[in-house]
Amino acid sequence: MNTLHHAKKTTRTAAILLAALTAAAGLTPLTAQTPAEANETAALREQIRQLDQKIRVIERNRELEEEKAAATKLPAVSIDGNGFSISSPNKAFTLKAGLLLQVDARFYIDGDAGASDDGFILRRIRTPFSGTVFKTFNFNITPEFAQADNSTSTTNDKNTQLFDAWFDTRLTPAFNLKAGKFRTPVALEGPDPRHFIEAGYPNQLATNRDIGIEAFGSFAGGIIDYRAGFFNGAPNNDWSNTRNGNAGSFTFAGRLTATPFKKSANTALSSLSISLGGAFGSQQAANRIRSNGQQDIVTGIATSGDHATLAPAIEFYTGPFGAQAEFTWDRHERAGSLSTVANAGWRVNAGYVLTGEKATARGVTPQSPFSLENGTWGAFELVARVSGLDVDRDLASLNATNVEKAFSYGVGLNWYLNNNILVRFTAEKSEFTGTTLENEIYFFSRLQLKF
Amino acid sequence: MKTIALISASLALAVAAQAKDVELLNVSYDPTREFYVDYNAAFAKYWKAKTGDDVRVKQSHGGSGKQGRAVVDGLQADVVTLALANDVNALYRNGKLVPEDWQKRLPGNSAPYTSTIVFLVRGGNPLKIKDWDDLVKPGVSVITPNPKTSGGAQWNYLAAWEFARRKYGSEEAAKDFVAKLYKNVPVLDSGARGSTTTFVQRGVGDVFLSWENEAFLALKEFGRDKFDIIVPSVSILAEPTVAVVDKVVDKKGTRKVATAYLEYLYSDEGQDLAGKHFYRPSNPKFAAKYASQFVQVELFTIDEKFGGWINAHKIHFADGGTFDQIYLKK
Repeated sequence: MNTLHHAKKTTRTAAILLAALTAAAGLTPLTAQTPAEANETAALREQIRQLDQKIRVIERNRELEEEKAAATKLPAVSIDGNGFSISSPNKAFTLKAGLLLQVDARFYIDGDAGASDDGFILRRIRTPFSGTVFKTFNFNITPEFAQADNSTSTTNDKNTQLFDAWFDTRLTPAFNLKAGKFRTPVALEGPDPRHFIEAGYPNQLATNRDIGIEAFGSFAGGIIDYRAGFFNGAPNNDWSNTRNGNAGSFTFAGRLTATPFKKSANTALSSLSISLGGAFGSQQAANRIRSNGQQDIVTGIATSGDHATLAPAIEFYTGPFGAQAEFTWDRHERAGSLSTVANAGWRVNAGYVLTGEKATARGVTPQSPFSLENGTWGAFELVARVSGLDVDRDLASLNATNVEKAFSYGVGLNWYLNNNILVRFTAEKSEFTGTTLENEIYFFSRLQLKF
Repeated sequence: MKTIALISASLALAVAAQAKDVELLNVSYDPTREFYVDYNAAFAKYWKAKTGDDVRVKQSHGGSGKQGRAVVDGLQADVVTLALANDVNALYRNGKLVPEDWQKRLPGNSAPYTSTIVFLVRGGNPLKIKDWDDLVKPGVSVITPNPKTSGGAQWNYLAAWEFARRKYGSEEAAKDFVAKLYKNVPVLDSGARGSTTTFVQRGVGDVFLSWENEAFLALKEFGRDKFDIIVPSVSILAEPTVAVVDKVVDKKGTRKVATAYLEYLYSDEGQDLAGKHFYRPSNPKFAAKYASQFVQVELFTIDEKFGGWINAHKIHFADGGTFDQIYLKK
């Protein structure tokens, strides 16, 4: 600013001087000039030229400084595979809009329970809106427009609702805080599985989204990660927005993850992670357990009061291969004098990228994205899963259709057209015992657009 | 049957998700704006006729070095058409966005057209500027952009250096000469187009070290009575180079059209347009067609006199190089 002020002042002074000199030069009658006077006039003219140049140089340099200052004030606008974003020049403030669109085609070859019919469904339609303020604070608001669930057994999934709404503050690598409604830390897989279209049994026995506050961070250069917080105690595999639990009671949930070879030169093991998730406290009423094909196989659970969940898991990626294994044990009280029940679920799933790209926890980035004009097809990943469910006898005996045990095995193909478009095909069979339900065989496909 | 129908439906949806319209981003240097406006229209017509697809090419212009850094920093350029090979080399050095041998992929070391550096002076050449020597005289104000951000400025710098080395016989003398020249530079724009504005529109300076095509453009736009082009005794063969940015086109799936876009620069239409915009076509047929508009001048190349761009950059324009030594001292 001082430079600019000085420049303006100098320009004004020079302009006045220039005007005076111009006037002086103009007053001299050229026709009557002696050689000395002519020399003097020429000198004055040269002086004027030089002063004129000095003024122009000052003005141009000032203009460049102003252009530079203006450029640093303009926000950066970006639209690409990561969505639409605007950020302030110093990146302290950002706003970003994204999209998750999943269109599924479902076909039950066997075991149709009636509620889950064949057909197309809009599984997820989300428009996440996120951002950063003052570099340190981040937020995310994600509405869910899809009325994807074709079951009539709950109310939560029939209306457009707020799926995520949280903000966090990044204080230090070891300690940060997050508050609002977001994915709880108990299960590894969550509702958006890495290999298959729908999540396996362990996810049915843990909370999905809940409202609360958690601390998170990492130690030892990222080798140890933790998440730990207090939540309302939403039902398992649900995303309630309201506080329905017992007054004054909460649930504590957390997850500790170790990636022991993260810094090791042995790249084959560097992504190996071992984790333990868990929760205890008071939980709201859970409604049901669903098969991998999204049919209700246990209903009438009616939990109320204390519960405890343990969920160890292991995850591993090397080259084109990736695998996950997870076990969840969940015990909870039931209303009235009903007995406490415990259920367990497990899964092992793996994938191999046929086109050779690197498999990661986030998916696969194709080396040659799909393009008809270039004759390239993207990346293909073959996946497989075995999983099981063990339901407490007291729960299984509640209804004739409740299963006591389930064992499922299936294969699938994931086609990554590019970083934004994914097509999935899954076929899986589930064998049920202790129920009147038929075994389930389904074929699902999904078109997903995400950015 | 149902399974086949579902798979077909999924495939159909997936294929439908691919747009027929193609968009490319050409990240270029300052003085190519007008040329690529015409060239993009010609290529779009050609591509539509050949494939039926619509292609829209977005342009980004600025100082060549600055533009190269923007691509390294994430600007999603399908192709770069920069002022000098070293700015494309930076895409290999920083992130392997192009392969090391990118320059071998297209004819003429990936330089579809060439140019040189001339002097643009005020109409009537009041200071009687004739050669590089005149630029270091006291009171002569010289306009040239910043070699740290502008490719054109690097060509200017090296042309002056080689002139002085020949005339005064040593590297030290050349350095003193260039130092004197930069003492006469009152404004250092970040790119050639900025310097054109400084000289032509703001009226600053007596001599503008200009790309040849930029100098002709100034005459065309502002009138031949306003400026004169002075061709020095020796100048440099400027070889702007072009390259497909592999990492970007593979990610976007635009390799085929991006490659065709650059190859078309060598076609008759591409070469003719280059000549019309005062670039020197590499195709002898079009070089002959437009020869009369260019003054003959002895031109040397970077490879001959400076051992290639990597060497020249290291000695002169890298941090602590001769330009820093000269300019920081100033």
